Amino acid sequence: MFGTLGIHPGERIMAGSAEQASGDRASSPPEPAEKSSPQEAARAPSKQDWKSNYARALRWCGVAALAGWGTEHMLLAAGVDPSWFPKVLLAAGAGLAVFAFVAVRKNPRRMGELLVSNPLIVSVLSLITLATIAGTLIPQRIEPAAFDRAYGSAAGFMRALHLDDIFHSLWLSGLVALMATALVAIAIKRWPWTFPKWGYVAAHLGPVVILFGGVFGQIDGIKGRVDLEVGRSAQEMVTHDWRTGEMNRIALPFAIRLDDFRIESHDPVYRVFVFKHTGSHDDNDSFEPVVAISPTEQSGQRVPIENGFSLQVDAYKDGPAAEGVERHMVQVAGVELPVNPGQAYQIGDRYVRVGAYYPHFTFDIASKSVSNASDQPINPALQVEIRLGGPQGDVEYAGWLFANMPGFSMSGHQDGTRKEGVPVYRHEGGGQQGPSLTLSVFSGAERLDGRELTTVPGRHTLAFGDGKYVAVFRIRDSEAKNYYSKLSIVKDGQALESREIFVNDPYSYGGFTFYQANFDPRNLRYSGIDVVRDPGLLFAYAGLVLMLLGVLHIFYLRTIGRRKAAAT
Amino acid sequence: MMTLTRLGMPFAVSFGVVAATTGLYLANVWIKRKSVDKAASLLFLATLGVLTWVIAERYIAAGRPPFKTLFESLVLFGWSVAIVYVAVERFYRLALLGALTSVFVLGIMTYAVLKRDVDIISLPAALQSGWFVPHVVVYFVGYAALFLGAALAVIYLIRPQATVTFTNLRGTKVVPYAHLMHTVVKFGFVLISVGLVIGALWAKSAWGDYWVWDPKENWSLITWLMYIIYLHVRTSPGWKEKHSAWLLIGGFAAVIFTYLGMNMLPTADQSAHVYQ
Repeated sequence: MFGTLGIHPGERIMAGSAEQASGDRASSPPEPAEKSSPQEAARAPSKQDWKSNYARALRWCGVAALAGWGTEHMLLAAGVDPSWFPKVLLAAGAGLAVFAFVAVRKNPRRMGELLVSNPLIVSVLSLITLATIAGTLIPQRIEPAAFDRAYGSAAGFMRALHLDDIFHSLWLSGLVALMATALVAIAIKRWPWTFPKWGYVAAHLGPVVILFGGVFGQIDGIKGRVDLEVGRSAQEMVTHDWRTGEMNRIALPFAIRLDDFRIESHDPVYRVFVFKHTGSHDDNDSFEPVVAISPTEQSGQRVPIENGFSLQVDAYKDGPAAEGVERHMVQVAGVELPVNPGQAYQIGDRYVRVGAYYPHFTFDIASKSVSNASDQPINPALQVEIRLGGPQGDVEYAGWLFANMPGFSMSGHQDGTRKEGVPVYRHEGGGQQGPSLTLSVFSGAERLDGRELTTVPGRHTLAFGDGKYVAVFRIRDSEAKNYYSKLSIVKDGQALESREIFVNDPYSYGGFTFYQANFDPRNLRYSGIDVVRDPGLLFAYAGLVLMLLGVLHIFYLRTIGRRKAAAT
Repeated sequence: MMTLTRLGMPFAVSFGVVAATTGLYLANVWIKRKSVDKAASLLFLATLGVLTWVIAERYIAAGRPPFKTLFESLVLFGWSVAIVYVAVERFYRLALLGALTSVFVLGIMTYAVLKRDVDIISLPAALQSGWFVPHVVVYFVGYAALFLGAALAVIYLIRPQATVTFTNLRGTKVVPYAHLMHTVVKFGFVLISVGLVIGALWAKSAWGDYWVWDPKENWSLITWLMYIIYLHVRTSPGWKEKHSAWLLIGGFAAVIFTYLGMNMLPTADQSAHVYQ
């Protein structure tokens, strides 16, 4: 039935009939579709024909992928740097365009018909789809050592097939090049491009223009990072080679200077979040949020939680959201002292060496490794080593301390209770100093417990229901609203132009575009700027527009035109 | 029940309306009466109305477009399915389609209850862009149309002899089943194409690259390619409507995976697109 509804140009060509952009009849008004004429039915290929056409198409795909794969290996063996690959692709593309012309115009029987046929485009698109799926199942462009760990003995074989970098492999490029060749051939086949055919031609040439833009952009384009502090300038950017882990420095034709940097926060909104313990797995507890209570709007109200428990904010005291300097306080044997990560202190008879600070400490069960998940002080943790006497003394304590869990340490004392002698870590600032409240927990009508909570980490939780629930008082939005860098372009000591950029609002100068990339909550004078040059961008955009307009024409505009013509 | 009340009045009401709509459409499959048919249609219109209310209320409460979290996106998805279905039903009648669609919307709403937000959070910097609303809305309306394509495919596989009537100013007539399937899929394809392009433009202005092989980007490409394959094979000789039906079901499965499945991927932590 579909065959009678719409006849695709490719099919006609394959069937050897005269070409005419018949288009998509199924999209025309819902009048009963025309039936195939007996002649057309006679011309329709047999099942055997289309099967063999698909087999031929798949062979072509295989050749294209193999050619790409072989070329990549040959080039690498010859010592050609992968940065040359886009140039190779562009040259190959030019050659293939000529091939498409010759195939369609000079040799339609043997090559042209297959090149513009449905079996070919369907086969090549299916294989590209499968390759893309593979690229989401296999981690791409990860450190070679991590790839080896993940795939063991198969890693070498997979690497030979470039499965660690599918999207930049030449075998996939080979398939994409075959697709582009087919698209060019389809457009050539439509020549001369009379007005009614424009949508069809645009829809099929659009992707070719996008691909050209992408490849061209890789030849002369670049993306790097510039790390700046307020008042400093830089005339080079840093790129990162994923394979070797090396940093490359690339000179810019001018310097960029960071004149000012500021972070805009969301208006502080405070909430009492209630989390429910949902299970433990390998010492790792999982919680899910149940309720969020507004301490201002719901103050004095009994807010039901679950299982008969309810919470009430009794007294709420507003306080300034003091975005202060981050402070780390460590209490050792009754003495509290401010410390800085990476430094050592002598407190009485104890030698305290402070290691790393992770504002958002996480522990990965699978790899048994600790890491820092973000720059926000969500789970501040400090690495501390305490020795008796001096630097060479016996180790009294070594491990991580957690500001949110004063009784907990990751050094063996995991019974959850505080022991004498275990140091206590208090974390201030980096986030909030803010307001305080008293929170009461009820079971039915009976008041079970109450506690004063502040948003200072370590003093902001209230557990109830035998530890099944925990109420946490904290600021709602942990992410910055936006961050702004005022940049100047400097040449020969002269500031040529200045502009403020922020996320989603970049600035361009001299062929480069500057993007606000990141910031460091522990160093508010720092700003990370991405610097991008992409000369292929206009082609990519033009191709996208061409393709979209083309599709709209095929689906809608053309049929409207046809309907109008029919009406007059 | 407690969960529903926590979600606020508009959501609770719309959940009820969606449930009633589903009940009526299911009844309509067996009780073939004009009045039931008409009431069901009106109730679907009411579903669209109450879901618009949920979104509007959330928009005001949040002070930003309510499309950030999984819960918010589910409500938008339900709304999108409703608006596309109401538009389709204006012209085409097929009793089973309404039943399947209302069950789907009810499913989305139930999932939204399970994935409810305990609080409304503010937009992070990357989402504060003029591209945010068009990107998300265009995609979800596109997904909704592709859902209808898949639903029609399911109906076709169960009841190949089902008929569709088309009504416009010139009158009513029976149209080939595949005509409706293709019409909605074409519409959905155009929208996911526009969504893809908007996403590329937005990524360029936010991150400096229009394409970074992010898993979500890859899966939206996979989905898009699957529908392009459909558009090309459906007219191939030897290809049957049955095959198209399976391809459309597969295509919509890819849509759902693109939407909800990203955190199942080993490459998910490289993505900027995963719902928490």
